[in-house]
Amino acid sequence: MKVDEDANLLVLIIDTNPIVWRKSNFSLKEALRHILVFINAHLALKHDNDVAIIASHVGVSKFLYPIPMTHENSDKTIFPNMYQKFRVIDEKVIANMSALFEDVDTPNNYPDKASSMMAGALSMALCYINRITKADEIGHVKSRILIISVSPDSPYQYISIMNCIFSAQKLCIPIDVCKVYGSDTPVFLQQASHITGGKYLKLEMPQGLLQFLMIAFLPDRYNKKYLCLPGEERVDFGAACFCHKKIIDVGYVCSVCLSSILNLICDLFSVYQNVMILFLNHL
Amino acid sequence: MEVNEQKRFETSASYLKKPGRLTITSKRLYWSPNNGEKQPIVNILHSAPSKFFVGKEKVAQEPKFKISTGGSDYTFSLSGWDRIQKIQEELTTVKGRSAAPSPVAPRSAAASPAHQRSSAPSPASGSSSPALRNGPQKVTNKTGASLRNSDKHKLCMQLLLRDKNLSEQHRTLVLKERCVTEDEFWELRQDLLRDHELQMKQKKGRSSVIPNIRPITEEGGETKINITPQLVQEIFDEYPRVKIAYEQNVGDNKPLGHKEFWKRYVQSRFNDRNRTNGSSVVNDDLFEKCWLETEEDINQEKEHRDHGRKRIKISNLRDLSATKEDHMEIELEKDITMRSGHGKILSLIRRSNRHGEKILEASSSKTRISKEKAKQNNQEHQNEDYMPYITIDDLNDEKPENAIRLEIHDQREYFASQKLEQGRDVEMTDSQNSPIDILNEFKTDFVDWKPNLTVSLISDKYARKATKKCNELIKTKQHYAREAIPNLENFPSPIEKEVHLLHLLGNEYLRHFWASWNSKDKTEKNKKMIEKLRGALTRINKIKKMSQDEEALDSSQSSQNTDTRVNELEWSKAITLAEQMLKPLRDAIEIALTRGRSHN
Repeated sequence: MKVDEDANLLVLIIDTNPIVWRKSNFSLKEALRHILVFINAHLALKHDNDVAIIASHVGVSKFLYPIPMTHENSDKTIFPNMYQKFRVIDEKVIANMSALFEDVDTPNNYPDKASSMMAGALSMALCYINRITKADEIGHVKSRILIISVSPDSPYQYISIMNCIFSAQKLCIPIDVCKVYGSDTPVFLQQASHITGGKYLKLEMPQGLLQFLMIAFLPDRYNKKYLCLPGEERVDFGAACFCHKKIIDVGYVCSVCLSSILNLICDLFSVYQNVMILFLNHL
Repeated sequence: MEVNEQKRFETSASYLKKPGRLTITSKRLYWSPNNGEKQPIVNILHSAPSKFFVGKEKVAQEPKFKISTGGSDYTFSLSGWDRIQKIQEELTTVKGRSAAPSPVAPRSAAASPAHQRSSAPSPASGSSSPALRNGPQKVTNKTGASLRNSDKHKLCMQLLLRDKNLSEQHRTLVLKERCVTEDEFWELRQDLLRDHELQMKQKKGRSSVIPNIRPITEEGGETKINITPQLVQEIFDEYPRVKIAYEQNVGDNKPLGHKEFWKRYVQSRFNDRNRTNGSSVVNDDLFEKCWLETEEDINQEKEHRDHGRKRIKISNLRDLSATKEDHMEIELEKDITMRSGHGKILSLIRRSNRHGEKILEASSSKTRISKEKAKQNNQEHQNEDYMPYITIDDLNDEKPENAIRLEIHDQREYFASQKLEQGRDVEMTDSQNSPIDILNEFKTDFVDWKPNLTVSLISDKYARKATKKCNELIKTKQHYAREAIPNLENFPSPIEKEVHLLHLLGNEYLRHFWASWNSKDKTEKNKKMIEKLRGALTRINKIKKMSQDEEALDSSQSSQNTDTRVNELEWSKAITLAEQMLKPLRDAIEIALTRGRSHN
């Protein structure tokens, strides 16, 4: 199979939690401009390249592209100097993003406003990739996932995210993570990129977002093998206590859900069937 | 007779050709003559060390036994051999109670194998006297424990023989360096012992090899054939006709001897019928007959089976009008090998099948049960059970599941710390804006927004910084990938040995430390381990100071060392490498020590 025949599908998951974006000194609009240019660059690399964009919002995740337009506000004029595909995608993304922000009530009623629905977005991405792969008879669509994340990990979504990560690993879909803003280390996303063979990159200055995206995340799966790309290799695999998020050396394990906890008297855990003592030597 | 003494056994016995009465009590054995003397002439206390001799049943004329104690022997003649057995049993039981360290009455070599049944005191032999109940129980525990100890010791030895790594560890830790005692070593490796014990206890079934006589060619060109009794047994199992022939022809009054029989067997065609060199075989009437009869047997078996099948009740659910066309889907070659009655020559496949079937039947209990059931069914002509064929699962009621319901109070709290999240939410909203405000703001912002992608998006400064950062990341990655892997080819062996030893020691101490952590009855051990860990830590620190010359002087192979000397630079490099290697161990020891200190 020649490399020339490969069509690359990039699924982009954009974390659009407004509250976290407000906290950072880099606005979502700026970031979107960088991202749109990046998408155009990806599409420009090859004629067959394709892209799918999913927004991971507070309590909900939605496809931004490709979906049929619901309202008819699109500008039908054809710009002759602009590559049509770029224009179509840009317009659709912006329109759907504003439609997403129109609905204020759903996010407002969601209790956990600090994080975004990453698990939902990942699942949607994987399903879309699966559909495209099955529909592609010749078998040369190579897909990957890129997550642009600002909000911290939501512990409620731990199991779902891990399930998605394992499915991606099974399907050999690399998950790259670009952390634009965030104070805590996102353990889940770091591990996601490590297991699936993707890259994790944390930006110190979000203003250079486009440059980072172009250097680290533009090459497709085939070219990555021959390039040495920047990414943080060290993943913290230390077991963390599920209630306090501290790295623990000696702890307890619940035999039902295999979660590790620091103390038996931690008042959050009301389910105990049997408890084993787990010894960990911190390396 | 003392107060606690109880008569256990009494019989008539003669001593020095005088008739008398022999009595065994709980405390002693004594014999008094029949002429009525009160005082026993022979009085042997059970607590005194004594030896017990019994003549062989077949060889000796009379049943008698001898007790020797304190230098003098006493021989008693009894009326029957069963009496002697009884006396033996009594003596061993009683001795087992009175003398804890030597529970088994020492036996002489003259004891016949028939008496060895009662050699070990069974802890189950309960005492009848309530007064002595505590005594024997203690003793039985000890004997039980001592038995278990000796078994355990055997297990340990076997395990060490089998596992090279384990034996090396054992040698280094227990024998050479004397870091831990033998008991402590095995205390932490209980699971290994248990696994090994289970493995040893497994019962091996019958060997599945078709008994085949294999000649061994010796040096002089002669072929030697070993016929072991086990092989003989296997041949008899496989070919019952040979067994009958053996029984008929070999024995005391029969023509053939044991060796001759087997010689003829080997030479006969029965044995060599699958080998093609016909010149070396001799036609042997005896075994020809065996062969023919075996073939007849097998054919009869087949017929009997087929014949038996005709009597099996044909199920009413079977479609008798089915023809070949109903089974057209399976496209397999027709089997021509397994037809009965075609000639007397049993092909190799059928022989192996027959053999395999025998072995499986021998070891499996299921086939026996099913065969018995089949016989019963045939005999009783039971009505067929149609229910499994006509019940549909969907029509049955759902059975209640055996699942345990998890009583999770609040699923959302399962993984998160509620307090932390609340704090975060408060932080999120800042002081000024509530979330709804932010959301509304975003909504208004994004309405009718058209990003202008034609102007420059990223300033020069940031672009350069970004590129620089990427380059740095790539550099560190390359460094780790290429240069960080150490070159261990010329690693000097004294350092390597020391590092290896320290790892072994350190890990063993850490294991013992954590095993005795938090357990109430092992605080002493814990403290001892802390001391040892400190010692290990100082030893690790001493590695820096290892110098080549010292090593050369210390080791006894100084002549060899001159060949393997490395220059100073490499030695110091190796020392730094060794320190790096020991770093995880050092960290772990330090963690353990701080924990130990805080605990105390």
